Parts: sequence; C-alpha cells; structure tokens
Amino acid sequence: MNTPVSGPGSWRLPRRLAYVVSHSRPWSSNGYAVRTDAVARALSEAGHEVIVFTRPGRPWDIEGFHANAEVPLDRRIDGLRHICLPMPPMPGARPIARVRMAADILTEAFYAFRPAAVLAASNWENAEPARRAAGRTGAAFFYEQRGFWNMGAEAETEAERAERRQETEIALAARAVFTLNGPMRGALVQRGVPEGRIHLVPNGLSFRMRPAKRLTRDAIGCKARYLLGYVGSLSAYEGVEDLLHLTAMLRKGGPAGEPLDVAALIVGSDAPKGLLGSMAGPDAAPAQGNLRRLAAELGIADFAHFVPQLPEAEAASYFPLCDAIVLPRRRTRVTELVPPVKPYAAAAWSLPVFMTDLPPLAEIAPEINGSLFPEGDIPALAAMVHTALTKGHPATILSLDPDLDWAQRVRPIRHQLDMVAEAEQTRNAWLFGGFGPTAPDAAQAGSAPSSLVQDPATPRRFDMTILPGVGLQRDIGAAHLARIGPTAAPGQGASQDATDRVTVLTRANLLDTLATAEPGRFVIDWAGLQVEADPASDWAGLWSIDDMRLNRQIMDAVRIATERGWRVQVLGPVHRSQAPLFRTIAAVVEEILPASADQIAEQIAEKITAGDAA
Amino acid sequence: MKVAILAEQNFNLIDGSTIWLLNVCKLMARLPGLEVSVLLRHPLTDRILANEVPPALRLVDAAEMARVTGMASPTLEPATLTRTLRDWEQSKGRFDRIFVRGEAFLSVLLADPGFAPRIIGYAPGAIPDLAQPEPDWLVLGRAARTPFVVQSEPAKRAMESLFDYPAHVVHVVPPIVFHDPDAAPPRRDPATAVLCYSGKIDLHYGMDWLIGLTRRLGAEPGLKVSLIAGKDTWRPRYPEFFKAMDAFRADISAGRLPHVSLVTGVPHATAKALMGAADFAYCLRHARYDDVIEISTKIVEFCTAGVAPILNDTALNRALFGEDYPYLIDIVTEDVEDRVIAMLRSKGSPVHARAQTRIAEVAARFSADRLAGALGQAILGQGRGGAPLSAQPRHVLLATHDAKFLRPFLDRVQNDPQIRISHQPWASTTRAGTPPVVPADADTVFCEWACENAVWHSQNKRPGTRLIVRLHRFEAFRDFPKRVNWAAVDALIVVSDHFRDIMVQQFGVDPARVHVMPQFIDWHELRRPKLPAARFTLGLVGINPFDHKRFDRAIDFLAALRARDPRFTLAVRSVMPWKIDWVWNKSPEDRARFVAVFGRIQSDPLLAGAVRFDPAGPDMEEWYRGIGTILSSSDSEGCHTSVMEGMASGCYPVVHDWPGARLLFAPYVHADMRAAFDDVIAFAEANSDAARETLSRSMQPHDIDAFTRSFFHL
Repeated sequence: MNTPVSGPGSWRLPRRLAYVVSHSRPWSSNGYAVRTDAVARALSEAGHEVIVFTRPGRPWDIEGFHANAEVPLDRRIDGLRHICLPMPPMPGARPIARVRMAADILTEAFYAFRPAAVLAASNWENAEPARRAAGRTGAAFFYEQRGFWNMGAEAETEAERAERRQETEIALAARAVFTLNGPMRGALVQRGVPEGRIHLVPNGLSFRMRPAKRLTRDAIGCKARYLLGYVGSLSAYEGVEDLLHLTAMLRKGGPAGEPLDVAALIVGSDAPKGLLGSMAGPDAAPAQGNLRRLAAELGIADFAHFVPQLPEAEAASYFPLCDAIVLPRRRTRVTELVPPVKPYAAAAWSLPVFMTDLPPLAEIAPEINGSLFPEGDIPALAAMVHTALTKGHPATILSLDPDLDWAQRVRPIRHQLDMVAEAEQTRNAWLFGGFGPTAPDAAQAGSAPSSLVQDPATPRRFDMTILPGVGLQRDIGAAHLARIGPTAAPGQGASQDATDRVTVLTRANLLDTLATAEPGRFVIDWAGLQVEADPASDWAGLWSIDDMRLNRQIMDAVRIATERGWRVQVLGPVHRSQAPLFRTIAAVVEEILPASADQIAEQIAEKITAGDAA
Repeated sequence: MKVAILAEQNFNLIDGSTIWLLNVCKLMARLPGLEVSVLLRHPLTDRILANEVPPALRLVDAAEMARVTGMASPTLEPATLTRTLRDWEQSKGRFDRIFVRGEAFLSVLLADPGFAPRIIGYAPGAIPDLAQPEPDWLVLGRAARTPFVVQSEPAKRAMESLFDYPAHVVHVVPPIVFHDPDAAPPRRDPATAVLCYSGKIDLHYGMDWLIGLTRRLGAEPGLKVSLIAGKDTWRPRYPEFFKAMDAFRADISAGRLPHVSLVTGVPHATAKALMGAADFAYCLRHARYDDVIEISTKIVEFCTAGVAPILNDTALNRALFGEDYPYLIDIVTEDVEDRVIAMLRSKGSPVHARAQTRIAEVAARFSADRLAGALGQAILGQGRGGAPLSAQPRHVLLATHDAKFLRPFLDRVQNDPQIRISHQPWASTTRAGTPPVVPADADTVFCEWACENAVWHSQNKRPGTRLIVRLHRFEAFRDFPKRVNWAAVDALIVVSDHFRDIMVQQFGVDPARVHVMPQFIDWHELRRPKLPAARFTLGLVGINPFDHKRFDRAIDFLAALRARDPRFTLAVRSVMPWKIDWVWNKSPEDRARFVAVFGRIQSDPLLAGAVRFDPAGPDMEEWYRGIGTILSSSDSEGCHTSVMEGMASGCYPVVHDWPGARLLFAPYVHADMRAAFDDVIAFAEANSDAARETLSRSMQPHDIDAFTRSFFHL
C-alpha cells in the first residue's frame, strides 16, 4: 500500500466507479439489492465502468450462510462485474475496529482496481470504510443515503444518537449525497448537510425487464377469477397480513359490494437481509408460516398462494399473473420517510397498485397512477379494489412517463461522475503526457471564455484550465486546509490539530490553490473577519452589495472547491442582513455555528472514545 | 411606436407587484410618441387598479385576448403565449417593443426568434445560487443581449458580475412613486404619533411583532396604529399566527382596541391618503427577507408621503437611507417592540426632523420625472438625450468578419426607428461568406476592419451609396490598403492620429476623408465609485500576443515599483495565452517567454502574492472599480481601449511609448515606464476624487453616444 495520492504512481481510471454496497445480487434480492443492481446497470449502460463491491465480509457474515458454500470472488452477473472481499470474522470487536479492517481491505482493492470515484450506499458502517479507502487512493467519494436505519426505535438512545452523527459525518464528507425522496432530503438538510449538495435519485423502473419464464395461474394452483399480489419481503412493517384480510373480505362480500372470486399471491420471505431461500435453510421463513396460519383461520387457505423468495428476474414472472398489487405498509418512523422500490416494479407491468397512505408512497402514487388507502382500513381498501377489478382501473391503460426509467433517474450521479472523469483525464494527461496543456478549443480562442459554455440544465461550472496553476501544471503541493480569515491570529475552528497543513488564502492565490492542491477543507472564517473588520483586508466587503467582483470570485472558488471535492465550511453565524450575497453559495456549503459549551464537551468526549478505539 | 406591457401579475389584486405595474403604466404615459397596450394575464374582474391607469393606455385583458384570438384558456399561459400574441398581432398590429415581467413569460418569448429582438425584460433582482442552473430567461437574454430593467444598482451589478450580463443593456429603474405636489399636506395631530402598516397580512412582514406591539400600545397614551390590510397570505401554512390575527381583528371590530383603526380592501388612492396621515411606517420583515436587495415600492411611497419608515438594519437600507438613519432595527439582537415604541415617542424631536429630511431626499431619487427618462432609455434603447440619430431614414449594410467591437453600437442603433442595419457576414478577413450583394435600398456600406471586405466594396460601389471603412490596427500592415480603391471610400475611420498619418502618407488617402475616432467607450457606465482596494492596485487588461502586449514589461514595472513601495499589487484581466491556439502555438520563443514570466511571478520574492489573475469576462465596469492605476505595457496598439476605459473610471494611466500613444495619452506616456513611479505613488497617496474626476472627464469625448452621432454624419 505504498501508492501515493499524488505523483506519477497515483493514476486512476477516469470512468471507473467502485460501487460499495451492503447487499447485492446474487446473495440478496431485497429492495436494497434490486436498487443496487438497477443503479449499477443504468450507470454502466451510460458508459461508466461500474464494479459492484459487496461490503467486505459479505456474504459470509450473513446469518445462516453456509460457511463452506462456494463464493466466486470476481464474477459477472448479466454482464455486471461483482467483487466479494473476504474479511476475517471479528467476534466481539467494536464497530470501529471492523471499520478499520474493512477500510484496509477496500484500500488494497482500490489500489488494484484504480477507481476514480467511489459511491457507497447506506449505511454508515458500509460507507465509512469506503470513504477512508477513497481518501487514501485519492478517489472522489459519494454517498447514497438510502435509508435511516437508526430510526427504527421510537425513543432515540445514546447509541442511535451516535449513529446519527456517523451518518451525518459521512454525508458531509461526501462530494455529493444522493437520496431517494423529498422527506429524506429534508431530514439530511435538518442534519446540516448543504441542500445544494443533495441530489434526488428516486427509485425507478426498467422498461426492458421481461420475465425469465412464462408462468400460468395453474402453475401456482390458482383457480380464482381475480388474483391480488404482493412481491417483497415479509418483514412485519410490510403488513402483508392485510392482503389476506382483504381477500377474505372481498370473497365474503359486504360493504365493498357483491362477493368476488379473489385469491392472494404472496411472493417473498422474511429471511435476514433478503438472503435467498435456497441458502437460508428450512427454518428461514417463520413469517410465511404465520401467514399460512392466518389464511387458514380466515377460511381462505385454498385462495392464498405462497412462493418463497426468488431472484428479482424470476420474481418478476409472477407479476403478469396478478390483476392488482397491494402494498399494505405499516406506519413506522422508517416507512414514513423511506420509499420502497416495489411500486415501480409493479408499475412496469402496468398493474394497478394499492398502497398505504404514507408520505413516501404518496409521493410515488401520482407517478404510477397508484391508489392510496388509510393504514389498515380494510373496508376502504376493499371498496377501491372491488371497483378496480369489476369496473376497470385506469392504471391498466396507463402509459408510463419515460422519466421513471432508471436511466433517467441516475442522471445526477452521471453528472457528478462525468465531472470526476473529466478532471481525472486532465490529471492523467499531466502525469503521463509530459509538458503541454490540453489542446485549446479553436472555437473559443479569443472569444467568450469557455466558462460560459455550458449545459443549461445544470449549475454553471468553472473552467479550471484558465488558471495559471492548472494551465501551466504548477504543483504547489498539498494543502489539507485552505483558509480565508482575518490576517491576525487564526480564528476559531481554523486548525483542528497540529498536523493540518494550512494555506492562507488571498485573492491572488485563491482559485489556483483550490484548483491544484489536494482537496481538504476550505474554510471561510466569516466570524473571524467580522471581529477583525479591516477595511484594507482582501476580504473587506465579502457578500456585501458593494463588491460584486469579490462575490463572483468567491462563487468561482466554491464552484472549483465543490467540483474537486473540497469540504467547504463557513464559520458563522452569517447574518443575512450583513451578508446578503451569502445566498449565492449558501446551498452548497456548511455553515458552522459556534459550538455551545455542551457540544464542545461532547466533541471532546467523542475524541477520547475514538482515541480509545484506536 | 407600438409598445406592449405584459406582466404575469393579477391586476385584480393590490400588492407590491401590481402597484409596480400601475406605476409603470403611469410612467409610460409620460413618454411621448408611444402607443401603449397593457396586456393583462387575467380577465379583469375588479377595476380597483385599472381605473387608475391613464386613459391614453389601452387595457387588454385575457377575456378580450380570448375573444380576438380564440385562445382556449381563461388566462394567458406560457405554453400558448407566443401563439396567442402572434394571433393578436395579426389582427391588431405588430408591437415594436414588448416589456415583459415574469420568468415563465420571458423564457418562452426569448426562445422565439419572432419575439426575442423586441423584448425588454424586467428582473426585480436576480441573484444566482450555485446549487441551481441559471434560469432559461437569463441564458437566452444574455446570448441575445436583451435589454433588462432592474430595480437597483446592486441588482444591476449582480447581473453584470455574477451572471456575465452585458452592462450596457441593464437599466436601473427603481420603484416609481407618483406624488401630487399640489395636494394639501395631510393634517397630523402633533400630540399623537400614528404608526401605519399597509400591505398583505403575511407573517413574515413582522405581523406577529406588530400584533404584540399594538396590544401594548393600548397602555401608551398618544400612540395610535393605523392598519391598511391586504389579503391574507399563507393562511393554511401558519394556522397559529392566523388564530392570533383573527382574534386581533375581532378585538378591533368589537372596539376593545380603541387606539387601532383597521381598513381592508380600500382603493389605492384611499390607502395612499391614509398612509400619508401617519407619522411612522411599519416596514419590518422577518430575517428570511434580510438578504433581499430590491427596494420595496411601499417604502418609497411612505417616504414620498413624508412618513418615516421603520426598517430592518440591513446593508441595503443603510445604503439607501444612510448609516445614521435613526429608524433602523436589528431584529436579531434588539427588542423590536421596545425600539418601535421609543421611535414613536421621538415624534417632533430633532431626530425625527433629521429623519424627515432624509426621507425627502430618498423620495426625490424616486420621482417620476427622474425615472421616466431611465425607463424610456430602456424601452426605446435611445442614448442619453433621446433625440433620433438621423433626420432621414437610413439603411446601412454592415460588411465584416467580426463585429465584436461594434456590439454596443449596434445594440444602440437597432432601436432607432429611422435606422436599419443589415448584415453581410464575411467568413474571414479575406473571404466573403456568400457572394457579396448590396441591397437596392441600402444608402451606406460600412466595412468594419479594412480587409478584403473594403477591397471588394471599393471596387464594386453602387453609385449613390456612401462607403465607410473603419481601420483598427493590423490591417495597416497587411496588403489590403494597397488594393482598396480609396477614391471610392467616402470616409475612413482610424483609431488614432498615428494611423491617419500612415494612411495618408503611405496609401495616399485624402486627409479630408480620414476621421480619427478612437474605439468608443461607454463613459457613463464606467463612472462608478472606486473600492478601497483600488488605491494600490494596478490593472492590466489583455496579455496576448506576447510581442504586442509585452506582459514582461508590466511585470518588470510592478517588481520595481514594489521595491519602492510594497503596497502595490497587480490585477491581470485576460484570456490566458494557452487558451488561444494562435497565440500559444505560434512560436516556441513567445511561449517560452510567457512561461518565463509566469515562472517569475511564482518565484521572484518581490512579486510574492502580488499578482492576481482574474478570469476574462464582460463585467469590465465593475472590475475597474477595484483598479487605481491602469497600465499599457505594449509595443504596439491601435488606441488601447482599456486605457481609455480605465481613465474614464478614474484610473491613473501609465502608458509605454508605442507608436501613436503620445497623441492619445500624453502626458502619461513614457519611454521607460519607471519614470512614472513618483506620479503613481503620489496619485495613490493623494487618493483624490477630484483628480480621478479630471482624468475621467478627459475621456468623455470618446463616449459611444458621440461616436454614434458622428457616424451618421460621415
């Protein structure tokens, strides 16, 4: 592990992405694994070289996994490369020790595979080793916040608070954060992640997915006229028993109307982490047993069909058998925030979807023409389903918005990866191309600066090759901390520890430093500047209405910094009445408020704990 | 001239933006020679504002548009706007100008080439956000150099520096307020202080504080509150606040708050009368509005009526009302209620008198007479003064391979109804784009650059046309002048006496036909206040190519000056040489010299941290504000426009003695630039506005208006 972050040995493959995930095919087929596969495939089809790295230690550490099962470490699944990385079991070890071990393993892997970008998916335990390994190899780090796993319990414990801090730290350390919907973005913003660095990559569907084999209702023993389906995990919060209650009520008739000849199809299991049934052993499906018992109690045992969990493509072959899909989710702190991937899978088959009225599902409903019902309200649901089955449902003739396609959904990720690839290409040209800047574009010579040429749909970028430091390939060395602040003593937060290399920024070196130094923290000590209030300072008039050139220079600086992966922090508070132009950059920077005495004590305590662990 | 005003606001309602629209209508009525139609987005159901529109303007509401055009929707919608307008123009005649407010309307109109050249946009104050793409209307407008009206100088500067919008098409027209000078002054009771709030019931206009404050005032003799309420806004979003507001209104109508009067939905004229009867105006806003850089019409209305506004302590309000205005409240650190009560108690005191003087000054800046000219300039594109450029209609054919130095000129003349410009693009200095043709009705051919275009037109001149050629610099050293038939050229424009002499002596051009007219500058735009940092900052614009601009000489100058006085630094504004193929790849020697200079800037201790490279961009007017001394280190120039621009902005010039420099810039021209050290240091030390003004005045003859008027007399 001697490859340096800078210098000639530090090359990376510009279009290669290491996608580090907790669950992937073929070991899991839960929503997490489905999303992993869809995102990886969409990026790969867009020209990125995606390699899926399953979290070190997977799949061996999955509960119930046969220790001697054969695990191909490097294989292609439908053309997509998957890598498994063994990690020795560490019974009784603290999470931080596992993280350190996983980080070392990933670092070695990244030195071998040379990705330019690393995208880690939830949760922090999966992402933190990836973040460290990306930092060591100089790869750009991105985080895909897929859920808030620490929100399971009602009252937050100390451990959960710590976990929330870890999640927030990961999000703050990432060049950009991708999340699934508005409520989740809101939660991240509330935790202090700059809104402009959060991008939505909602779940989507694949228009090209077709069943592996053709099934008939006979194959599952179904003789009923109508079939209502559920495909997914049987976790308690999915509320699948409501599908059986619904079937019973519709068969009996009543408030919903005449009795209907309806059956239920339930495809899935409650195996841990979506581990496929064949590997999980015979006792892996207690939930299915419970549901079977409930069906018998309701007198519909012959009209409830169970299929164990299957790989995604096989599970898909059950959709065309159904007349409608029911997703009777329970309201929990997680389900109020996090959206499932299932509704889109159903919508891809143009099936009517009935879902509990929860915020994430309500956000999806208009996209797929889904119907919402109040949680657990079986009579209301029965009335809706009855009407849909007997009088037709508009969903069946629905033509889906092409924007729901995964290929469109991953556009924000592609935009970021394209920026990384471009920067890496330039960098590699320096490393290997010898002297000579990149060929100038004849069209722009002498006319408008190229920073004006842009894709109108994305925020404007800064052409760093116009800077002497970049254009003339000057290496001014590494800076872990670049700082705008009072000329006198460094202010609060200026230096976290003695090992920080600090570059004092001036208006003359600002853009070059941010464009050439290894990205670290870029701190604007606004609070310190207010105390100093030197009218002759380079930064007098910052964010005022009087000096727009200075405001522009700071905008350009922040453009460069965010594009290259600096963590931009403004030491506040920044009162907007004194700094009306702060809003030009406010959405993409962290505003650090002075810590209260309690917070400082907490931070010290944390440092001591971390020191213990190390 | 037919002008349309098109705004997205609902003219049936009264709020800040519809009052703005009404005032624009009134202002437009003062401009002579205009036939104005006001296109209303909605059907007119309430004439509360419409009745105040001057009768000379024609009001057309959505219902009438629908009758004439068959528009299907009840209101004008962006998706169908261009079609509806096209149908309307077909039956009612074409508009020469369309003044548009509303981002969605602007985006569709600017995307349509049939409308884009006729659009003048209104942007109350656009500020970029790095997380967002730039708005469509801005990208389209910038590419087409669409004129825009903004509300304040800061908003204009933000458009220029933060969005790269060309300065000469951004016009400041602050909120306009009409004041009847003959109206009797309102009767005010000296023993009572009345606080007035007029506007929407919006929590973020500090209504929560106002309710608390008003309830407290019941116990304070001699203090009264007058509320002129508009519609409730965000009612579902703030149920708690509106519960308090409803209880407050109930208490007022039940007579439990006798010191408070409340009216709702009164005509604008009545509201204005009520506003004028107060002593103080409640204009506070919650912190979420603190970064607003637009001026509120309401505040100006209060000032005009002699009512002192109580304002947030923000940068904008300090800039507008002065640092010592007594009625500013810092809502973060101060107790709003206590402060307002103390302010009301100041009625009749010297503090109050001082505030009244101040608000009268503020009001004068927003008077209709002052602003009508500014709006006219924006809408009509006229230069200052407003007289037409030519008495007779003119049709000028512009033949050139590169019109970039003419753009502000073209933007200016294209708005003159007497003048028509057609374009004959040339592919290069030596080749026509398509076979050149002179339109039958063209009276003048203008060759910008004296290249093959001038050769061809001088040999193919149609009798009865005038031929004007402009020579910049490099053409004088090529073979074109030898081949031009100078007898056919009616006027030759050169940029300095030096080139006049060359043309007369070497090519035998008739001196009577040679006109020395340096490249024009936008003199008025350049006259902006200097920033403190300008004092010891030298500026250099353009460093390419090396052998003309001699970047090394500027750096030598800086290093030697810093040896004497290290306070000086240099700001360089230029495209970098490696970004221009013909500069970077022309000769290895020049490239090596560039690399050496850049290397020296890094390594020479005399230059450490003293050179700043500012990315090239169009906002030169703002850039010069940070420059105190402008350098010209060149070996060769036409007229070095950046020195003229720098001087117009108040910079001290230091010019190397290139051929022609002395006739333009004496006594600031030096064979050895170091001879200027004493003067440069003395100028910076003196830091004198009068000295800067003298330099600026000396450049006034080169203003674009003078050039444009002269051009049509050639």
